[in-house]
Amino acid sequence: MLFRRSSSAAVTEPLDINPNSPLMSLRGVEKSYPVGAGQSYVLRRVAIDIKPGEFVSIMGPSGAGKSTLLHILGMHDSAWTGEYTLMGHPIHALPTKDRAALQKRHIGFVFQSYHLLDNLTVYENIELPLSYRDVKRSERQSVVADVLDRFGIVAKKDLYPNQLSGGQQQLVGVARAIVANPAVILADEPTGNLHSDQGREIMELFKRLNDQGTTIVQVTHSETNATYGNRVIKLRDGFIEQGGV
Amino acid sequence: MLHAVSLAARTWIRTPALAGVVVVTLALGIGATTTAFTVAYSVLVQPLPFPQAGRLTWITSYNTEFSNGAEFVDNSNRMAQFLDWQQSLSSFDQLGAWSGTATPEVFTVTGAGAAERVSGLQVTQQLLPMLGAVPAAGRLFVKGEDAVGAPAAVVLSHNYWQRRFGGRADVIGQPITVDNEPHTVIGVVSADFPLSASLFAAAPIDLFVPLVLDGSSDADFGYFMTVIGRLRPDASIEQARAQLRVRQRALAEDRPTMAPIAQKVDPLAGPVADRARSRVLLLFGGVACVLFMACANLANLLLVRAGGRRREMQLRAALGASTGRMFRQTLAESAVLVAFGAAAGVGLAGPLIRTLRAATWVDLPRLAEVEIGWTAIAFAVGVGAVTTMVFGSVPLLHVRRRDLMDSLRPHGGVTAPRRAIHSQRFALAAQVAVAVLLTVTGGLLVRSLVSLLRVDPGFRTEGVVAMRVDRQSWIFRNGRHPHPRRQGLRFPRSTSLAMGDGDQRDARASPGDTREGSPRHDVHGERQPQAGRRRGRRRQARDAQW
Repeated sequence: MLFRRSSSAAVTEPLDINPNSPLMSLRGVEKSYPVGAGQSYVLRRVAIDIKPGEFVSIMGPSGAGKSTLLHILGMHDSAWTGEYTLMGHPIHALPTKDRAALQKRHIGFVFQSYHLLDNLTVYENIELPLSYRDVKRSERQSVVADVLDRFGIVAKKDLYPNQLSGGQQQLVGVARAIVANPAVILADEPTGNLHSDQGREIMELFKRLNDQGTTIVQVTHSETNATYGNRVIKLRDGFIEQGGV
Repeated sequence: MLHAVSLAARTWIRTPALAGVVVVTLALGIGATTTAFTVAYSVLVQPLPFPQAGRLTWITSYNTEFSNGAEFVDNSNRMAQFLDWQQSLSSFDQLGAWSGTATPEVFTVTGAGAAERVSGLQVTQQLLPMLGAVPAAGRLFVKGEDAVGAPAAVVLSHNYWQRRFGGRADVIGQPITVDNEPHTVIGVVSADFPLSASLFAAAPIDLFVPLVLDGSSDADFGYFMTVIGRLRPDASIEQARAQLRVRQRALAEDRPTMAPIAQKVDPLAGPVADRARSRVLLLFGGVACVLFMACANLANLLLVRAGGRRREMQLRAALGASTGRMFRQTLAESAVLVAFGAAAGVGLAGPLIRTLRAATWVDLPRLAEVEIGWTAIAFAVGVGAVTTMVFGSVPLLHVRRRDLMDSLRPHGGVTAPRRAIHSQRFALAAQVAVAVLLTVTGGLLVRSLVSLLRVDPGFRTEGVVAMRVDRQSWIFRNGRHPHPRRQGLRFPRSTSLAMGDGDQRDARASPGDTREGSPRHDVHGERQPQAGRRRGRRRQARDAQW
């Protein structure tokens, strides 16, 4: 089920998404750094479409530009050229404030290093995206309780990140990413710091979320992890080698 | 917001050393600034603690041949003027005066226990009630008690009454001798009468005697009086000035020597504040510089700390936190510390003010009135609020929304944004600049003090002790003052003794144990011959009076 939401609306409202139109679309996206008199390109002429409900794995050797591409999709990076459309919104033409509003509304991000806030409990870490979306406190309590229950970490809600294992921390990271019910989850090497069992748990969780309708885009080195998805985009030296438009 | 405060407290508990440094620094800075502000406010702004103080004025006279009236001179009015003003100035409800300047006179009190030198004022009848004095016992002067030939009355201060007479009620009606004149104690002023604190820089005033309004005593010299008037509700200072001009012209027709004299009328608080303004503002400016340095130091500390939290702030931005939302969080963090610091600072200001008031070398009018009140607390709250806003925005210098990715990578960069680096450098430069300014200023003041201490007074002071002794307290024998040593004044290991009168114009030779070459006198004043010294005939005759 796909859900609608506004910046302050309840997160359980249905979202109006056309399943036939790309959720995310990149055309001619490039990113480079000045080096001496020239430029060093990280991404060249990237063109991809990601449809609603897809589970896409972005793969490639180190330095191919995978994480850079993911962070551009997640709007963590604004120093690029080209066109980026998210649910019909021309991100490339929007000011920073509008981009931030769309990012907050539609995108959840899972980091390789978990990036939990050490001075917040598990409960507070998961609740944080909701509070930034101006959701009322009573609603937040209800949603976070539901997420804790779904992820089986109710007993750990008052613990701090340094009291959790790596797998548990990443579980919390995933919970934080989905608590606001985003249209798409971007995951940057979500199992990179986990051992295989914990990694499998996380990937199976992603699979379940995808089955429930959440679009997932992951960066991974692991062929095994890629099998959980239904599409692979391969990058090499900043170019889309396979799986683009 | 409560949740943000709770989170903020939790954040600081994790770094108690830094939190402690910040709180202590803020307490010292805010405490010192609040003290200085309280002094400045009490001395310069707060109305004088007299009834209807806004209508009280100084009337001063000045010689137009030597002055343009810009300088305030308190004891500049003459009896003839005062007597005339009492009769003719309709702009004033009341006129009061005391003899002399802003320093009380010295009187000798005898006839009630041991003789004692006390400070006091000669005042006209209206002065005390005009300034809000109420009797704690007995009464104040009534009309006519400052007239020629009236029975001599004296009003005691509350402090002197307690100290000398043990607060006894039967002091009313008791005779005492003031400067060899019998007086009757008619009353005691209440303890809270603020005359001394407000107009005499808290110099003690032990008693009040009537200033006799005798026009005949005012030839071309006469009394120099300090005059205060209370304007009528429907009169203005301009009207009073106009009336004084008219009266001065009339007075000058009778006394041509007073022709160049003019008057000025100023609100009572004006000259009081003017005397202290430069010192108070210098104090406030210096302390404000100290606070600025403390804040710059703290800003640097917090910038460094914020650098360590840069990834956290970038992450929060990536999770959807707006700049305003992050500012609220950092504001809550700084508010927690500033609240503790400001509270400690206000608490520190109390002892600082008490120390200032007790310091006898601090010569500021109205210092006794300085105390922590709601204005001081509001000032501390204001300083705290500004500090909170400044410190709350410091961590945001490290948020770079355009490039969140850099911090969010697993091995992301840790270099601070350029603006954060510039802010750190600015804070450091500002701190150094203010510190240099204060150090140079302090050095110049110390140098001036050293120069003052090195001034050669023209005589040797090593081993010399000075003391004031009242000759009238000695027993007279045959109409002559006895030898001071025979009266029990012993000076072990002293080799010479010199006596002078109050004006030090007539230093006498030294009777008693002297070195060879100085004259000696016995109790009857006979001169003992000394070898090796010739003395003038006038000097011998004067010395024989001993």
